[in-house]
Amino acid sequence: MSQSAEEQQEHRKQNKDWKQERRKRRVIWAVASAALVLLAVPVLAWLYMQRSMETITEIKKPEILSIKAGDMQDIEQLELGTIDVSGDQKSKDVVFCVYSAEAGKSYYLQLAHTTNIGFKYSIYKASAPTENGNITYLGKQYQKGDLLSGGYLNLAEDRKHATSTYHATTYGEYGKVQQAAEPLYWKSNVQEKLPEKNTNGEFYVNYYILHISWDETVQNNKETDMIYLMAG
Amino acid sequence: MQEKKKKEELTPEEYRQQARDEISGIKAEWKVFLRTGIIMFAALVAIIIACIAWFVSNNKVTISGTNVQSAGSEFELAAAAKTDSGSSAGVYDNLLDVQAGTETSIGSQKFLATDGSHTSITWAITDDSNMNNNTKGGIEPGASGKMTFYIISHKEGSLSVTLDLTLTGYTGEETAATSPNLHKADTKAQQLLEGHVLLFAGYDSDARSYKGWISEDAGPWSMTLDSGGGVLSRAENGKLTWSVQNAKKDTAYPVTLYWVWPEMLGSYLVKDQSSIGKRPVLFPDDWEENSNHLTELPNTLFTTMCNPEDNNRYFYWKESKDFKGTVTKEKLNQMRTNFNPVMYGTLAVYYNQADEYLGSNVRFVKLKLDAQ
Repeated sequence: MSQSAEEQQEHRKQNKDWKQERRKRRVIWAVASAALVLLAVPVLAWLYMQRSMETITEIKKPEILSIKAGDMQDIEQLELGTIDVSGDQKSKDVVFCVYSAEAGKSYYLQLAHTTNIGFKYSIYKASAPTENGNITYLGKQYQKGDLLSGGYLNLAEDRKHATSTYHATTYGEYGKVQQAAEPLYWKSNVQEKLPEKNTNGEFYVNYYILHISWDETVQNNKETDMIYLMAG
Repeated sequence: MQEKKKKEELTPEEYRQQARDEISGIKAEWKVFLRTGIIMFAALVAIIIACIAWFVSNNKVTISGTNVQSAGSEFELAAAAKTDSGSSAGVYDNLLDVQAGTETSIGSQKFLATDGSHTSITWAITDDSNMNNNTKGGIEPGASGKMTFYIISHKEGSLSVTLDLTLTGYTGEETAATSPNLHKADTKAQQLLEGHVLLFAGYDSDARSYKGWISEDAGPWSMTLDSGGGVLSRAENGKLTWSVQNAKKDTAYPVTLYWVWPEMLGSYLVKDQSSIGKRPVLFPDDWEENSNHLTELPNTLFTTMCNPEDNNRYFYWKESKDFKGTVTKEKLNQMRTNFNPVMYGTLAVYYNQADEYLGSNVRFVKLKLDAQ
């Protein structure tokens, strides 16, 4: 009996110790967390110090002229890569279009090309894509119109190569330029104008045909020329 | 015997009493705990309120023209105000959610600055510090300019400020008169904006070349600023820091940023102007170790530019197959060492298409400078 009483007393004492232990732990925890919070709040407040300045501007609408292939088809498709001159047909027709988001824009058409191959280039006006046109290109048909009037700015007397009029503009001071690498510059002498009504979605489009022709003197001998089409 | 019996009889009761005592003891302890907890919580609330009050308090006192700034901040941001009585506001500032800065004078210079109660302000515009927004001009491919801001130091000794610049694009109706009419442009447009409207820390007007590119795709660099001995640097991780060793109290330190929208892809690729006419060169030098890297092409840029994922910031394509086959790192490198106009034409198409996309899908561009 006394043993169990002693055990009880022992047990009660252990309980009390344990409660003290728990109380101590709680107090320490409370004080530590209060200290932590006291430290954290001013640090966070310090990090919040931020200043900022802003400005705003506008992007101008792209009221530019662009050139695309065929009927507003990607310019990548304007393919002049390999032309076979050995067949019966002595010409090739390629359709391109000049367009803008702005109606009635005026521009001159310009062409620049080197003269390694003896191709003759001319630009004709074309209609919008239509049924039964006489020119087919990239799946659509166009009606060939009038020749665009214009002339070369630097054609030499042999009517094949360029004079050195624009050499400085093209090559600067570089002197070792072969005659066929001197580009011929062609410019239309009548200003073209985009239509007032848009027939193609939001764009105002004019269509043209680039007519490339050659005679018997041109052979399939892997010559290369560069050709630039410009509107501006 | 009976006593013992009594003891035995009492023990269960004693146990019950003990249990009850313990329960009430624990309850009492809980009450104490709650009490101290509530007091602690109240103290915490008081501390928080005190801190907030300290920051928000407007300590400005005007005594015949002098200003007393709140002592908390180490620096303020400012921009030069127009010297004549003209307005320093940009023409589209009514679309922004923030107000103009507070007028401040340091010496003979007038500024519009942030302060304790106006921590976000509009950037004051002058004739030679603007984004083509001092009149209804606007930006387009080929446009460039500069924006200057000042860091006004409020302490002596070393001062270091972390800067962050962001460009955001917005679409908007023709008659957008207030900011609720602005909607953020789509993700692709935001990406392209960051790749086409570029920010630099320096510009060489003789060579028409830029230095210190501020962008996520830039490399690390470090630049000493001409005035006041400050240093602007970009770390490898993109953090932009302005620092000065011996700051003087109430001194305005200028920092000029140069913005440019390159008209041609060539500006990113070439080392000099020989193939691109009068257009600026963005990275005139190749990457070198142990230099300040200011004018060098970041060595991962061309790889990033050829990335065929949707988050490409530089190019826009309709067919990803065509783009992947055409634009490669080798070709971009070749343009840098041996420019070929025909090959260049096939690459530039994608840059120009991106410019067209930007022009059609973004109406307003906001430049924000955050400083901390």
